[in-house]
Amino acid sequence: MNKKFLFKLAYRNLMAHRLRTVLTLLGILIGISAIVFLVSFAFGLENLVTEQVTRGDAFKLIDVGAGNSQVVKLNQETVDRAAGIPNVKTTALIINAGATAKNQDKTLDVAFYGTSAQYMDWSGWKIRWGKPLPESIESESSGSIVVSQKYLDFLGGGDPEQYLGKKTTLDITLSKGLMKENKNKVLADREFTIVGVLQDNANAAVNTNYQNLISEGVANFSQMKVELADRSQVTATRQQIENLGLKTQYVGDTVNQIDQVFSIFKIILGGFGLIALAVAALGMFNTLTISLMERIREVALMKVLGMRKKDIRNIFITEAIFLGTFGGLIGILLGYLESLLANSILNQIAISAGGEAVNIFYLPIWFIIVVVLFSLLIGFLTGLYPARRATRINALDVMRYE
Amino acid sequence: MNKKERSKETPTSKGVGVPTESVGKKPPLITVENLKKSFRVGKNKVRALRGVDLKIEKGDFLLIYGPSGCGKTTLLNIIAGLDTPTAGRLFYRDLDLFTLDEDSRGIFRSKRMGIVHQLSNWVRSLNTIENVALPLIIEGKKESEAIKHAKSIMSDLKIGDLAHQLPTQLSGGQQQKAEIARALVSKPQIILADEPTGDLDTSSADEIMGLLDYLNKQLGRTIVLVTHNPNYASMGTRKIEMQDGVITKSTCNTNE
Repeated sequence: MNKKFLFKLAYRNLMAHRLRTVLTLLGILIGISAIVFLVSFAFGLENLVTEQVTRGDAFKLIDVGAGNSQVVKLNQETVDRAAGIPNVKTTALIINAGATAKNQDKTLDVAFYGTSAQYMDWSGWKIRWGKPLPESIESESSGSIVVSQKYLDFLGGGDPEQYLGKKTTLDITLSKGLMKENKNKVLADREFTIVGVLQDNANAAVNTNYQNLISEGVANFSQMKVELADRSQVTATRQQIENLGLKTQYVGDTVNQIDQVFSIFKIILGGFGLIALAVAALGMFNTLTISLMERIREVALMKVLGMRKKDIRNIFITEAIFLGTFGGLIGILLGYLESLLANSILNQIAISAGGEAVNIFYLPIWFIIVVVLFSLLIGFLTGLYPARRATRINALDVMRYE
Repeated sequence: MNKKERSKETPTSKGVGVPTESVGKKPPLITVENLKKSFRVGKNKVRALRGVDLKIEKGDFLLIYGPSGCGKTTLLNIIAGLDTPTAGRLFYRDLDLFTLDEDSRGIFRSKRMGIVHQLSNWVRSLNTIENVALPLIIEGKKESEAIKHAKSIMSDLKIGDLAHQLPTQLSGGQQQKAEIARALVSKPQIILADEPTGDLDTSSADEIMGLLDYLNKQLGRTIVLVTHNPNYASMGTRKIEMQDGVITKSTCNTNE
């Protein structure tokens, strides 16, 4: 029997009981749309988190530190050696120190960083008001600093613009690990000029050019960011840096961890959808079995007319695959529309609360293909039993007794 | 298709059922040799056929006549390859039919035999012409080609105007004519009809029997007809009468 007629027969058989077919399809599409909606939510969240971690140039950067080593230090010498590795394009440094800010009789402990505009840029610390740290400290009368908004709250709050060019006083504590002499040092009542304010408002933080701290006897850096010329060589370059006794971290490691966490999340959400789909598959199985019982004389007739078992099996499997595939396709469309609607509602809420619009749902093409194949498989599996049963019908018995 | 060489041994005839005329060079269209069929109904063993020998030649119109339960339908089902014998053999020319598996017998049946039932059977999702064309479609022919053949047969049987109706909307007589059209569509060598008038009123039944007679006399079709209706006992070229699973009498129609 040719395929065209097989499809026609399967279609006509399904259309002969429209309501039953539509109800069965409804079950499948609800199950599939639930999977699509929930899993695309997990994909969307994963994308959002990954984007936060990997924004900007993150994939071409390696974070380098000395770790807990007492022997290897991240000093000018090791920095120069790392910078000399062929695939290393540029480096940027940071020194983590502590400081106590003073405002009349009030004090506040703040994070104090000796760093560079490049390091801040690579770290995603965006300057909203003012300008970045200067490249050089030579022309400065007092050190330039870029501060967080939280720091301005300590100074009195209000419009950040009004603090640009204002001076502020800090006691800076440099731990012995940073110092050439291996002794703690306190730089009391140092005056700095605010040149920029960060968008981030999480911590009270102050950033100055690291040269301001080098000139005070700091010899060791806390961390370095290394920009790669060719990011496909990341593994080899990391190895070369680690050969210097340094520790490295790469954003790819973090992304892998995020992937792992979200894989579990996707399985859990997909599992809820699968429960709905399993119920629908049982409904489909039931429909196909009833359909076989109703058409048992037809099956017997086709056997009498010489139809092979394979063709009889194919009729039932084709009907099942029709149901599964159409249910799957419509289910994907429905799930996608649901996610668009949910995204739009959530974004409106976010915007009205002062946030940004983001895509919380994401449906990759490969996942759509997997869902279509999966629904096809569900169709095939649920059709298998009625199809096999149809082939085993004893045509004579049916013609005699049914 | 497996072919098994036909035994040269003469069937162990009980003296009835085997025609006495010469069969010529070709073996008969159908040869039944000592066919037995028994089955269980509850605890009882029913011996439906107790050793039947029979030859059917091309162009025969064989009437199998007898009361209900005499084994005539069982014999017809075995000739069609739908049922399997407990013992004995059945040859279609040189081919031992039961050396074929179920699927192969199905293919053989679709190409060589046309079957007409007492109650019409249809694929309800197909219209009449599609149902008539079904044996050819099952055989693997293109649907358009099969429909063309079906149309021609239906026109010959004067039911061309019923082509696009659903078969279940037709009258009993029309349905039986459509069944005959379906039996003829693949140009079979033999038509097997099991009480085709059993469910019809007298006028429709006469029309159907007239049609079968026409197919045999005018078109030379070989027909095997099972009936218990005495009104048609004188039809056909030959008649065998059955009783309790054996052929009790075999006669040639002298009107021929």
